[in-house]
Amino acid sequence: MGEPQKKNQAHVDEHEGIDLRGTLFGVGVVGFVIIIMWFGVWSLFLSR
Amino acid sequence: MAQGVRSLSKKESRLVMSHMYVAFISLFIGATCGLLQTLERSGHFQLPAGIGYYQILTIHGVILGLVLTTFFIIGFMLSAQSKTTGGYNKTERTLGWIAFWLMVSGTIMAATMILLNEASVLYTFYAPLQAHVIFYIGLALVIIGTWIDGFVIFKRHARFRKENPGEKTPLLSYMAVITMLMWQIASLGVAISVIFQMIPWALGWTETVNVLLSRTLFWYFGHPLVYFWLLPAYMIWYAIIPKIIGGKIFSDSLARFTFILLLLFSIPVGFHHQLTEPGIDPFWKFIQVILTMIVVIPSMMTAFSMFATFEARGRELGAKGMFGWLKKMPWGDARFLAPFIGMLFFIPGGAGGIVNASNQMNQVVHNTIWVTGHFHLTVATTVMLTFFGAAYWLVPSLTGRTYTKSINKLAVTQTILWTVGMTIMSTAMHIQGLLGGPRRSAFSTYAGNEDTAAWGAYQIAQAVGGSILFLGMIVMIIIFINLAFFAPKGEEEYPIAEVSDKAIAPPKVFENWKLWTAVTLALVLFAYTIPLIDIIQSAPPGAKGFKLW
Amino acid sequence: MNMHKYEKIWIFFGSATLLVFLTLVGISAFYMGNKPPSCAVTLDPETVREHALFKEPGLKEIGDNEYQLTIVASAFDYDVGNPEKVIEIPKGAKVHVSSTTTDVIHGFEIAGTNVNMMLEPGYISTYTNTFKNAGTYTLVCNEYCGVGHHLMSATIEVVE
Repeated sequence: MGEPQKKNQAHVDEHEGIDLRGTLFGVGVVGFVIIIMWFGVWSLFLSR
Repeated sequence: MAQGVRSLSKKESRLVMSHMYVAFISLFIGATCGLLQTLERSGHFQLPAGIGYYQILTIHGVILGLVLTTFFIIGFMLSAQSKTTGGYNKTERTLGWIAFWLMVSGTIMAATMILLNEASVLYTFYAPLQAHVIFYIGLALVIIGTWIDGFVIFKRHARFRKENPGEKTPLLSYMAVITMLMWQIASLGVAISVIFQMIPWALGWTETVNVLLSRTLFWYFGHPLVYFWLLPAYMIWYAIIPKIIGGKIFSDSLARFTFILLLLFSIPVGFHHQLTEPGIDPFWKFIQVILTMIVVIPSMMTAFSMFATFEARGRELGAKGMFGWLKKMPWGDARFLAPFIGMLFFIPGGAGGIVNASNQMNQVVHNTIWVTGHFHLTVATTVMLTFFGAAYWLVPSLTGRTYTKSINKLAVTQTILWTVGMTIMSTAMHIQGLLGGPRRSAFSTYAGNEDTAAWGAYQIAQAVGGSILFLGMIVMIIIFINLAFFAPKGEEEYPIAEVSDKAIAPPKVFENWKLWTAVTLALVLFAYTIPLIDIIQSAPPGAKGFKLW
Repeated sequence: MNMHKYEKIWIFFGSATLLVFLTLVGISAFYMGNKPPSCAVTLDPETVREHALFKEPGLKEIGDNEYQLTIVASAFDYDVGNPEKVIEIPKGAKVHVSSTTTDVIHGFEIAGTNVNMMLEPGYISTYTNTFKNAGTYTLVCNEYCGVGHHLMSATIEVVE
């Protein structure tokens, strides 16, 4: 489990202690789709 | 029988519901045209005598892209603004009605001309195809109507700030102001083109028109137009969906910051629709390509916020592991399911958008049916499923009725039909587009070569998808009529999410509207001044009008 | 306003990816000459046929394995210089394509290639393309131009 983040002394962290590993994975998938689609069409552009 | 309780006052409910009636009538007409188009292009069906493919294509684009979206968006935002700020006064409400009737009159004028076959120019009405002047006047009236609604939303926001000094403004109200501000700055472009170029030209006062200038003004408006569709969907994602799943807004400040970025960067990017056009310097095309990439960032932030909203809620409910939170989501509730699938579709939709805007890469897909596939993912799925999901609570909450379990079942069916239909149709469009199949075309065997013959299978797939979507539309209309007139009386919640108690107040500078308007205009001037001077100064002789349909 | 650590990571890598895309297309466009068609040369749309370039449409050899292909578009026809509407291009040849319209906006797309540009009254659209792969290609109009829009086509044969 994710360790609670250290409290920032200047202001409260509104997302303190929330485990967001699933979110990181989710946006990772988004990034993957973007990269695959872009390079797919880019290779089509280069091959034509 | 239980008493119906409305979420807004009766007068305001009536104003908002009037917008909804127009929106859902438009859905019916527009999606029916869509079905006919996919059937015609499959090559196995001919339109009944007298109806032209391009005539129904014009109806489809105008009524879904401009009418359905605008009426739903304005109606939803008027309701959200009223709900979060405490209602309109008489002046504001009267202005809302004036705007509504202006928009309705404009729509009827434009629609009549299309039906009389006087305006088969598609929703982009590219000169020098010349429609009847009443078509252009109708479009101008719709735009002017939205401006009045924009001022109502600004005025109510300003009044809230005056009445509640020092208090944070409601998130939905803030977002509605950004959306309308962006819309007003952007729609100035198309209004200038319609009022100063198209109308005098269609009346014969001027003989010719500067084609490239009209296209540049159109696309100055055309890209922010798609953000005008998307931003209200983002409003629902950020400020309403958390409440439906029982959670809190992930970050109020970040949501506002995202909207500021969208205001700044959604306008100076229109050239990415004009990448293959002569007459625009490649340097300025590339500058706007860079600005287009910047506008991707707030959408990336939105993706993160959405995942985080769901995960935080799932963990609050005791979810374990990396994906346990997914199991805690209310999958059976169409108010959540429909917008959620909309979000998923925005992943390939957004990725395809990055491809389209990538300068010379645009040559692979420009004006192919890939583009049609792209915006059927973004606007026709992401935005529409979000709006459908919102209608499930918005309509009964305004009519004092309830969203029952049996209607929810129908709504889940609707969501599945839409998802399956759009997956088939849009995938076929994307592939056919990569093979070179053009958009906006009736069935054709072209020169009879093998390359074009290979498109046939994809066109049949589109007809299959289009038929499933038509069924989905019928189900949606049944749900709408039920929620508006027949569902049991009662009280349906207008869900508005709260921020977490740990949230920090957004910086004061976020409410500095003069600053954000100035920065937006500065970016527009930077991106457009030199190319516009160039377009006007080195313009070729103007083009005469043609009616080729 | 503060961002979650993971969001910072995501925005950093996301922006870096976009920067990579921009760098690739930027280098390809401005250093390798693959700019999108942007020829800003104008002419009078009423007198296209009198313009030196468009008097005789068709394919002309202008150098060693280098050709000029000129096509005039109008509703609803591509004038490629012969009534069969077929152009034969040797594979690997460098072809300078020039086209314009005598009336409304048309598209100019050789399906399956990177030749894809808008034809607008008053402007000459040009693009230089090397046809790398042999085969039969179809030139189609991909911008709505009127009731016969889908009937505009011609054949490009790329031969060994």
